[in-house]
Amino acid sequence: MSAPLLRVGGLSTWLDSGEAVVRALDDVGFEVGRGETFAIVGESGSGKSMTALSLLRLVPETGRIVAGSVDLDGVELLSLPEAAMRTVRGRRVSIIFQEPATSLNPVLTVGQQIGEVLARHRGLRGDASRTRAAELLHSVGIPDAERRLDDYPFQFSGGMKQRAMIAMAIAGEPDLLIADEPTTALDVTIQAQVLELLRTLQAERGMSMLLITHDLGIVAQMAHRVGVMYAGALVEIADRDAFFHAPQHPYSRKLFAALPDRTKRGGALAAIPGQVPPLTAPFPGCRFVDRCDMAAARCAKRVRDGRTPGALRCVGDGRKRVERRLAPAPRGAGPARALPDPQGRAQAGGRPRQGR
Amino acid sequence: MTAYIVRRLLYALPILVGVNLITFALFFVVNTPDDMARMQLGAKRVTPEAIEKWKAERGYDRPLLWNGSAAGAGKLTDTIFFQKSVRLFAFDFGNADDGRNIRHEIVSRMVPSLALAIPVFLIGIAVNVTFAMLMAFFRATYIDFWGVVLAVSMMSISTLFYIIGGQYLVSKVWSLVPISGYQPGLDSARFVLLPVLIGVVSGIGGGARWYRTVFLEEMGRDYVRTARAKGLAETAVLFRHVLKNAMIPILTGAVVVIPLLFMGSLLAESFFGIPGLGSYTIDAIQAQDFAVVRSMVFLGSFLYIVGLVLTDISYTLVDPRVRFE
Ligand SMILES: Nc1ncnc2c1ncn2[C@@H]1O[C@H](COP(=O)(O)OP(=O)(O)OP(=O)(O)O)[C@@H](O)[C@H]1O
Ligand code: SF4
Ligand SMILES: [Mg+2]
Repeated sequence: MSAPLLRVGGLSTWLDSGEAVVRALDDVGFEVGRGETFAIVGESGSGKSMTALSLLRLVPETGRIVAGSVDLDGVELLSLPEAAMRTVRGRRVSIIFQEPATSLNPVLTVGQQIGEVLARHRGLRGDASRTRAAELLHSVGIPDAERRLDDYPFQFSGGMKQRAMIAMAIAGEPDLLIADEPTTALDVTIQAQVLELLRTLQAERGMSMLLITHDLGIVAQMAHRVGVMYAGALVEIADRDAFFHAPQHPYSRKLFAALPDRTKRGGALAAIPGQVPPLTAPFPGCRFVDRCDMAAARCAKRVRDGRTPGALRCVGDGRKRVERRLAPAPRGAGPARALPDPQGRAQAGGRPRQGR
Repeated sequence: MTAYIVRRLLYALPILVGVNLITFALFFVVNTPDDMARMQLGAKRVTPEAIEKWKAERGYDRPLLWNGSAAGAGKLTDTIFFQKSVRLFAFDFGNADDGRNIRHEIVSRMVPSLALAIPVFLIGIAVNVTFAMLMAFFRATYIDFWGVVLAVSMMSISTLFYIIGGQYLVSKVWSLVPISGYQPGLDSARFVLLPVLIGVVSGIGGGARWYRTVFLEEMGRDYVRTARAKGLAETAVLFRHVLKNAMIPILTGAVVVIPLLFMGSLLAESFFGIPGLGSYTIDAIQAQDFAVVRSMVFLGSFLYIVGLVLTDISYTLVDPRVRFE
């Protein structure tokens, strides 16, 4: 197997929130293979978006990447000069944001905004750029694309705005597409269409995709591999099927256990009792210890796991004991209910497969 | 679009009526003609006869709203309200105390006022936007920091200081331009140069600081992050994406004062001896010429309303979201 396209290691990003430093990312590491979809799931505030922004070096002005490595195809992005980084953004790595409504410039036409990428990264201008932009709009499923190029974003519906964002993101023909909760702001039916579109585009173009979501249904439907994020750290990384069959980390198990009934809304992560700990101080031991049912005295100590960057203890040297205590869980009432159907499709969390 | 503008103009009518009524209340009810006469005549000569004579000379001897002794329509028209206030709607301002026609005076004084106000307005916007963009581009660096310090200090200095300091330095010490005065025609450039400069300089502090906030607010928006994620350079982000959006509040904020440019500048015109509407107003206040002051208050309010209507219209021109509705 060839080397992965993206290799992230030890990534730590801190934000200055005014009164305290928020350690938004702590030693995050993962890989994304070529043509692979890697999903990151986690509760709100766990650092998913910050991971995406850190890869592109677009963290908010109050933030900085304090440590780590982002290796894209053998090039270390974190040490690139800013000018070289700008040839990566939009060209090799592009991103779709959660809020299509605010992520497009309100006073430029959709065609101008796509054309900007074409001019910057593909050297297309004038008619060539316009033709290509129309092709792109067409390929993301916007009817009458040629005419809609002259529309302003507010003339597009929410789903169409997100399609336009996707057209912009693929205009530079990137190797890696980051989709940060691409469907959260959309209606359920539109969500399914946009996901289907992303999957088709990815297959056609052989792109890698980093898909950020808090929806296990989307993970089951889209991802090859999954990373679970908690309080700024990736606590578990697994193949999708393995993850849905037997989640390892107690936090992952709780995610499944807390899923609402099939009849309830989608596969969005449900609330787990307790609160995400504040990220303003380093964690001496496991960051999940306050909310973990399996917590042992040793959990508060710092024992690092070699395999999953950032993960502490649970899969480390205390694993056997914890494993034993956890053993009944996968067959218990919790996760079993949430397992995907044998085809590995989107049954988790009760989201029926949508689309055709 | 046209329907929208017509509707906006119709909305403005009641406001104008309201302004007129308030002017009337201020100048004739709160401050009665008797009060005016007493103030103008001075404490010594105030006899009831003198007051009556003063009022009769100026047509203030009528009843306020209803003239029971007049015949027919005169019951309504032969009143102070009709003669003095309603006529304002037709820009019929009557005569000043020196007997000159106020409307004629206003028209001829507008030119010097505009010769000063228009350059100050245009150059001011250009300078302030440039300064603000510079600070926004270098935000959170020393350039931004000292820029803000400079802007705040310039804002805290009184306009009087700029005027007197400028007159001293540029006219007296360097003898570059006349210290004050005015000549019509091309020659006026020599006289308005310094006032324009001072007008621009004294406006930089407040203007640039405000525009900087507008720029920074725009720069925090999501679409800016999108633009950066496309790989655009920071200058392209600023000029192509941020500037265009920031100009919406900046331009529409500026439009409201455009009609008021006609009113001239009270301070600068008096200090530089420019015979515009600003100095006219100041002189009238000093001479307690109520007819002139009343006219200027009404004119100012009227132009302000025009400014508000223009602002609404300018939104529709600049912002596609409004334009297409
Ligand atoms: N501009 C900022 N300044 C300070 N702290 C921030 C800023 N943006 C995010 N944070 C903090 O960083 C942490 C990670 O935020 P992030 O946006 O990555 O979460 P997320 O997992 O994407 O959540 P969501 O699902 O709500 O999008 C949170 O604790 C958040 O409060
Ligand atoms: S290390 Fe301990 S507290 Fe943390 S998740 Fe594992 S069992 Fe729970
Ligand atoms: Mg997010």
